[in-house]
Amino acid sequence: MANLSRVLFNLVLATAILFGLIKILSKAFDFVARYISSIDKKTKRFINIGIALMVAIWPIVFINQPYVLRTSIIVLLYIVLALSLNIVLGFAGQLSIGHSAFYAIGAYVTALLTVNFQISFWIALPTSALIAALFGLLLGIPTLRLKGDYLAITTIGFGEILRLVLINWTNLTRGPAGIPGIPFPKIFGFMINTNLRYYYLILVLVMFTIFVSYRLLNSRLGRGLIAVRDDEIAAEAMGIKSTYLKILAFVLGAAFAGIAGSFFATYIHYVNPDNFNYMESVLILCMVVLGGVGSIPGVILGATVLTIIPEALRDIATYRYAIYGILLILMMIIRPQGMLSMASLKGGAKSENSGNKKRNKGLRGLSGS
Amino acid sequence: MRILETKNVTKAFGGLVAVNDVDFHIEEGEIVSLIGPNGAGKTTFFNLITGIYEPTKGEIKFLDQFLKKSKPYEITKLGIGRTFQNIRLFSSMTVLENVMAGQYCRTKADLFSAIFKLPNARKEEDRVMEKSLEILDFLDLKKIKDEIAVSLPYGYQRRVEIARALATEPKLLLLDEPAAGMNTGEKKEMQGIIRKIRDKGFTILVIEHDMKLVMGISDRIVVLDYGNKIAEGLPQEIQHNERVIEAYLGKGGAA
Amino acid sequence: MFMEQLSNGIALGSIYALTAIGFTMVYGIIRLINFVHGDIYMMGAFFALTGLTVLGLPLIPSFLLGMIGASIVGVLLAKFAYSPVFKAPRINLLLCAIGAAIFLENFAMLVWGPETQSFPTLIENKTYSIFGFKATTLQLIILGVSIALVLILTYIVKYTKLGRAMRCTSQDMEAAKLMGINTNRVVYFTFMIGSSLGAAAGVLVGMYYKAAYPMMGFTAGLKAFVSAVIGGIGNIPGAMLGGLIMGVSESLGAAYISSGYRDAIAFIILIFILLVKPSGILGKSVKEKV
Repeated sequence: MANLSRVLFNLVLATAILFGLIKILSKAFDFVARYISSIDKKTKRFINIGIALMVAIWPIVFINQPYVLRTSIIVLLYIVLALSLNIVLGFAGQLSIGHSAFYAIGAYVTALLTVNFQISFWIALPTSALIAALFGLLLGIPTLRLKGDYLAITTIGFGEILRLVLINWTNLTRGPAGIPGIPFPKIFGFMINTNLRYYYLILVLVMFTIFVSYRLLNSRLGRGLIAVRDDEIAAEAMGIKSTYLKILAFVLGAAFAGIAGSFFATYIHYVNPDNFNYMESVLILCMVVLGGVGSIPGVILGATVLTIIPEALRDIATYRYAIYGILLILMMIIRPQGMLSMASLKGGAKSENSGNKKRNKGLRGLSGS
Repeated sequence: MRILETKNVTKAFGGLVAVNDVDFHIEEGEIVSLIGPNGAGKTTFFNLITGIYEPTKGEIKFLDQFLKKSKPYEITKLGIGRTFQNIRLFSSMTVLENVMAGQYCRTKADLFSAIFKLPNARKEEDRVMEKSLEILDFLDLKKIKDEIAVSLPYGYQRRVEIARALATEPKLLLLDEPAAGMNTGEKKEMQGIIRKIRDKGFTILVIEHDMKLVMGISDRIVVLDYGNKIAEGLPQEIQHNERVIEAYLGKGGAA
Repeated sequence: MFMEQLSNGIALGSIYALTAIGFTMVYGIIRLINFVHGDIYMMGAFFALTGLTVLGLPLIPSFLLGMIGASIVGVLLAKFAYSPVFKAPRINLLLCAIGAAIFLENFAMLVWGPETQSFPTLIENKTYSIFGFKATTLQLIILGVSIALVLILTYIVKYTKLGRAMRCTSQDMEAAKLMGINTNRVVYFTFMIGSSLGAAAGVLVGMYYKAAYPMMGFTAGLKAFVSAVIGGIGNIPGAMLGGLIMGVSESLGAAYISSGYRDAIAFIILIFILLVKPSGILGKSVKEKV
């Protein structure tokens, strides 16, 4: 009982702190978003180049601090993962909670190819993406025709089935023991075997993911996806083939998760089924929601914050996931659009309310008929 | 030329027959109004034409093509654009983006060329932008093109919905209560807009309750009551049709 | 062997049915896939266990403690986590539910520890043989308690004023509100009943497998969902039917196909149902009004 009251006290305290923090940060981020939406293209480009330079020289500054480098690499890895889920959840509006399954597929494909068949990482990487995408397609076709909540559960189910397969198919996956000894990637005789080199490898992958997300969002397909997310019936009435687009987003999201998995396998040199459990999916989901569903800068921010915070708060590591739970609830209550939301970046922060009211249709649809 | 024709179209929801045996047609370049008391089945009729519902019985022919089991997006691609009674704009998009989304079915760029901005995708994007701006200009929406669409006043939202429907490049435009909730001045403006659209060569089918507007714009009027077509004719004819008056006011209500 | 597996399946199935009913009730009222439900079930088991071991209560008061404790948790969540986002887009509500589920799982881990705790043996487990069926005392108790609870629930839903209000609210919340029904109270009441049924299932499972652990609700919640979908989500008899189908196919599948994939069976059934008849066996399909 003493334990119960201590836990309750700590959690209530955490809730209060988070509540205050979100309130204060909301104001700060509103301010930032207003600033970003007001600056012109030239300044924006200037800022982007500045950030890119900073990210590029970052590891050189910290070259003698392996801890900082390792953490930075993990941050970048999660940025790829969060952006991959963002294509599914943020662009297409489909709630997938089994995203770590595709991450796992990517990791295992790379592990198996490089360890069992000595295939080069540079072939294993696209193969991992492709196979993850294929699984995305297979899962997406039956489920994406259905309402969103079914998808959520089916994706969890898929993640669990995959985990069971990884555990039970011992001939292939060595079961719970996992696959050790994944080699360093080599390119033209140049071995990627230091944190610094890994940093630049994952940085390239992050850039590629951002590039694809951004271009996709600003293309006809991206507009179609956002239309489907905002109002599927209206989208169909505008000639948008919603099922096709949802599957496309799902497949693309799976492919990028596969890329992340492939990198993970070569970086850690070891994979086992426990790396890819339900909580991993939840963590990726939290990153997207915290940052702002659909917003690319927001999701990058979300991934960064949620990777660094637990590192910084080692002392309360046991409370980590409980706090994630509280965080998710509080975000939904206080700031459902996330820290840097899509609309606020368009300069429509005021309209956030009316936007939400409009989307109440979803709720009307479910209380009515 | 008959652009749309329906024969014996019926839609039943369980025991409730919302649209019963309706024969209907619309000629190219016409403005036809579909009127009737609340619950007469007008919106259901729209939903049948646009493929949101599948008719229980009967057939719908659009430009010599039977719309059987066609999905809404296929029908839009064939050339039927629509607006909604309860406005359904894309809530996170600006006015311009809403209209550009309407161009989706007239573009083809695949994932690869869209992401790497290959020449065909680039050309297409330019065309979409140009076309969308042209439509916004046509409907006097250009100055608010960067506003989030759902944050606009009601009258503007209706107009953006029409712009979005026009962006699908329809041959037939369906407007579901375009003037609902507007004041007299706005209604007059809407009347002008509908005329202007027709003069551009579009065929228009309107559901509307406001009789002044209906009488002002329609070439022909079709009246539905309890799912049945009870009258059809020129505005003057409908105004004096006894069955229509009865449907609106009840038996003996005219007295 | 077959008969033994069948009675295992029925016992398991009636637990799934109990869990699925609570799940389907909440869905019926607010159209929410209540991710927390599995964790309410876990809380029920832990509360009862605390009653038995820490407080030294006898079985029946502990059982009731589990049900009451879990239903308080359910109502508190409905009040503080769900009701602020009732009016928001649906995906927010769903994410809130996921957040609450993660919270409860980890809360239990913090309070009771992540290890599996053993349930004391309370009832002498004998094996009976009836018409070729082999059933143990515990299986019979599970079946009996489940039937009793379902009967009580049916009475409440069919013959009481609150039950009528529940049925109205599930058909059309707005209309129910306009008819003077306090829909908030109905929602909380639904959470209370649903949670207490879920908790009962949790306690029964704890007794059956003699174990309780913080993540026990995770797969149970998913299986409750699958049971509810099989029967037609939002439909109480459907949930019972779905639960039994699930329990039996799982027992038989584990025995004759592979025990390693036991938990996968539910999802294979789910994907199959979604492909063939997404509205479930007893459900009706609903289309959004345009």
